[in-house]
Amino acid sequence: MAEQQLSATFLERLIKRENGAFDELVRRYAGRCYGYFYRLCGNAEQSEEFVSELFVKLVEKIDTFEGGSFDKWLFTVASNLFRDHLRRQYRYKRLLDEAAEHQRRRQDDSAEQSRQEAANDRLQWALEKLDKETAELLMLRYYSQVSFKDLAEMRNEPIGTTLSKVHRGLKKIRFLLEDNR
Amino acid sequence: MRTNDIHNLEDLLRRFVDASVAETMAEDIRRGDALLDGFPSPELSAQAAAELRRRLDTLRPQSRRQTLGSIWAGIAAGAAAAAMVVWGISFMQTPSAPTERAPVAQVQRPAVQEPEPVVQDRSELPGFTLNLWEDTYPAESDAAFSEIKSELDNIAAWIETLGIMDTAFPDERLFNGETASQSETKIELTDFWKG
Repeated sequence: MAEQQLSATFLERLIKRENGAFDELVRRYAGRCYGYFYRLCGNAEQSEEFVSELFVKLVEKIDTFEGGSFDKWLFTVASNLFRDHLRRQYRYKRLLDEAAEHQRRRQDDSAEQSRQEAANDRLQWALEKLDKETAELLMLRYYSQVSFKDLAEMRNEPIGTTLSKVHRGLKKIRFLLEDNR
Repeated sequence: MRTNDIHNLEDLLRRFVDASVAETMAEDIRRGDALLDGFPSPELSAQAAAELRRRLDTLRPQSRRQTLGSIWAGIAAGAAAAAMVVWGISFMQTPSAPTERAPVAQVQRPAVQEPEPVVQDRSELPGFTLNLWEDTYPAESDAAFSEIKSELDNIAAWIETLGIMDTAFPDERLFNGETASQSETKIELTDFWKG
């Protein structure tokens, strides 16, 4: 976990927009952010666009980072970006439908689909069975790796509520995945 | 992938629920996390990551260039504005070249009539007054006087003919309905004012 923490020096380089600082940022966070977006929308291209938009936002807003957990700050921006996008487009359901359709088409087109992709599709399917808020919360926790306390703060809700939602969500995921093998 | 407070999860849950329930919930969450770990995270393609790096890399110098550009643009704009001010001031201070003007008719100053000198010597006043009288009432003034007098006589004769002067006017009524004479009589007969 210590590896994930950004050093003060690195943050300083980031704020000064020094050469190589952005590469480091991408190396550390792009994968996790992509995973977060991909799990929520199920669309690789859309997720890449989200990641790109997020990192541009991060570069623009880096001056507003006031210390504390950088992961918490970054994933708050990511979460807001995704929510804003859904609100703006009014297309969460359509997005999921499109993603499912995209996945189905991909399955049809590619005979060489790997077992890993099939497994991912099952998780995607299970996440789609959850309500949007719970799915977002589970993925936010999983990919941001922030504490429950920070998670509750990011969502402006009591920590007990966050714990309860995570518990219910994971239980349902388990039920869906284990009982539908 | 694990969250950093998973080991303290049970302690955390005990703050909200019974110990036995907390234990069950913590176990559910751990198993859920383990299940999610079984689904490897989708990877950002190397191509997409490289594109992202390129985009950010171009964003950084651009922002510097833009900053420098805006600074230079500001300096240039300020210099231009200063030059304009200097030019404007020098333009205003430079005497303008004589220009041809259309001939204008000469405006004549109106002649002021001087008042006549005030009479200084009071001994001349009678004569001056006489002159004024004669100026106002010329020679036929006597005739006018006779005419006015005869008109007044005619009016007096006409009034006399009508008998207006002999007519007795009714006593004026006061506000309480009494005449003035009635009121006076009443006051005379009343002793209240005598104390």
